[in-house]
Amino acid sequence: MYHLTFINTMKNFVKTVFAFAIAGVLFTSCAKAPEVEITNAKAAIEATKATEADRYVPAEFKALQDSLNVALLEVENQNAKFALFRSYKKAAATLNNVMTLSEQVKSNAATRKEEVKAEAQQSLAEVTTLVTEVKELLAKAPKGKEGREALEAIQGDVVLVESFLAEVSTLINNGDYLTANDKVKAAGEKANSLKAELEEAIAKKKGGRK
Amino acid sequence: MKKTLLILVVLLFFTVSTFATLYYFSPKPPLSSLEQCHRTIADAIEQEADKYAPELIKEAEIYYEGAREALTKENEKAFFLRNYKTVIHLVETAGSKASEATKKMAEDKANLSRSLLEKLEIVNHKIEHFEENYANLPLNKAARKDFTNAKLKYLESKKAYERNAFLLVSNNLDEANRLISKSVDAAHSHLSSYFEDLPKWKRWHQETVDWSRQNSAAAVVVDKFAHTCIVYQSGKETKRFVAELGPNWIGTKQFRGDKATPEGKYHITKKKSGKQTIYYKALLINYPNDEDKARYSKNLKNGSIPRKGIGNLIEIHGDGGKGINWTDGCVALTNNDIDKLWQFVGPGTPVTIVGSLRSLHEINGR
Repeated sequence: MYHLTFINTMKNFVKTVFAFAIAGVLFTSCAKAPEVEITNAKAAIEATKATEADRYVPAEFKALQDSLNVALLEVENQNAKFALFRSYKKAAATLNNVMTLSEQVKSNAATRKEEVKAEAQQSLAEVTTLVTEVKELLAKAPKGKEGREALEAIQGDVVLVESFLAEVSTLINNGDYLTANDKVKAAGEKANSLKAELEEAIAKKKGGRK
Repeated sequence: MKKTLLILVVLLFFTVSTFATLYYFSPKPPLSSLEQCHRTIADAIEQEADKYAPELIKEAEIYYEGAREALTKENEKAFFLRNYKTVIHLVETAGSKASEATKKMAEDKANLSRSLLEKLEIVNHKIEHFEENYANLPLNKAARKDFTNAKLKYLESKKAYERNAFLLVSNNLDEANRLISKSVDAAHSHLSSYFEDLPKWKRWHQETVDWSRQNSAAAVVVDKFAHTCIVYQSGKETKRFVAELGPNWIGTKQFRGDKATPEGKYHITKKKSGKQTIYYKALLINYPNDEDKARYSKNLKNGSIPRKGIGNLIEIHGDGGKGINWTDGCVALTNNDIDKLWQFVGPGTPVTIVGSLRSLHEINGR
């Protein structure tokens, strides 16, 4: 009797071990590295870089790359484990997060780019108006022998400022907004000094006569 | 049967124990080192090490990728056969390259920032110097164009510098430096020949001051370069006024209509006021004097000037204060200043007009 009970117990034990082994094999065959997610996340980062996110939102782009790296290392961490104990859930979640974040970073980069573009365009418009004012002052400035040479010199400077502004337009069209901003600010300073020079000359002209 | 099962259980237990022990003591992948290394490289790139030390960053990235590949290869092996020494070596090399790149970037950036700042100051100094000494000179259009271009490029460089875009600054700043140096050189060369007459101007000035002292009378000296009209009483300077000249004031007057202010020793021949002048008040001088006439004849003979006449009616008059050189060759003062001068002078008062009382070296430090 005892002999039979022991045999039955051992049979059950062996069955259980086999069941676990089969379950383990099944489990292992399901725990595959998230290759698709990895490919998609890498592609998402490349697409984000293409929007110049690394230039316009560098900190966010860096965080995105960091997340991808963490996910890839987590995959390797799981690969290092015994097959029965591998789980790529955390890596997959991080990779999915990279995908979501990349959309956010792309959007933020586009917003920042638009802001810088708008700033450059606004500055360009302001300086263009300033140059128009300088031209109007040139027209009002005393004619004749009184300062004709000086007016010609200012006219020459206005032409140079305008050519500078043409370069700004080209830079804006090419998407190089930061350099465009530098250039337009420089042109603005020069245009302001020309305006002041003309206003002073006109004021002196008025004040010089009694 | 019982014995067989017992052996199986023991064997299973032994296998599991051995497996667990081997697994426990097997080397673990250096994930934290890899993560840290990646951050070091990313930090370096964020600080523009990829622009200042591109080769080192490239090497760091290659070593890091190598470490990742080596890690994958090791993980593919049975756990008890894994050895991460190569991974650790590669990751350490990558980290060291990234740190080296960061250090090089920091040094290069600091050096570049310092040298650019120095260069910005040099160019700014040249621009200010040009504005102070040459901007109002009757220079040719090319020199003025170069100056304006230089200033625009300098301002652009300054803006780029302010946002730490140092690598963008260099080219524009070099161009600005080249243009402003060219303008300064052109102006300096133009003036150098003009200033050859400085000893003569100084002698005239001294003679005029001596005359004033010896005769206890007023004398007037006009320094064209300084745009100043100086009044001496008994050899001592008593008044100093801002003077405006003809637009082509560098060089003496050669002929009628050249818009140049003459240089020489003259005297007042007539005081004009009311309807006698259109410029509030005027002091007519005896241009052309004998020296002017001799020079005019000589230049006419050698064909260096047009046959337009020598010109006349050179005055010190009012209606000045326009801030530009606008006369046909006269010296213009503000109406307030001509009123003050009027009190000291009369017919016979010496009026000496010189190019400058200071040497070019004293003026611009070159």
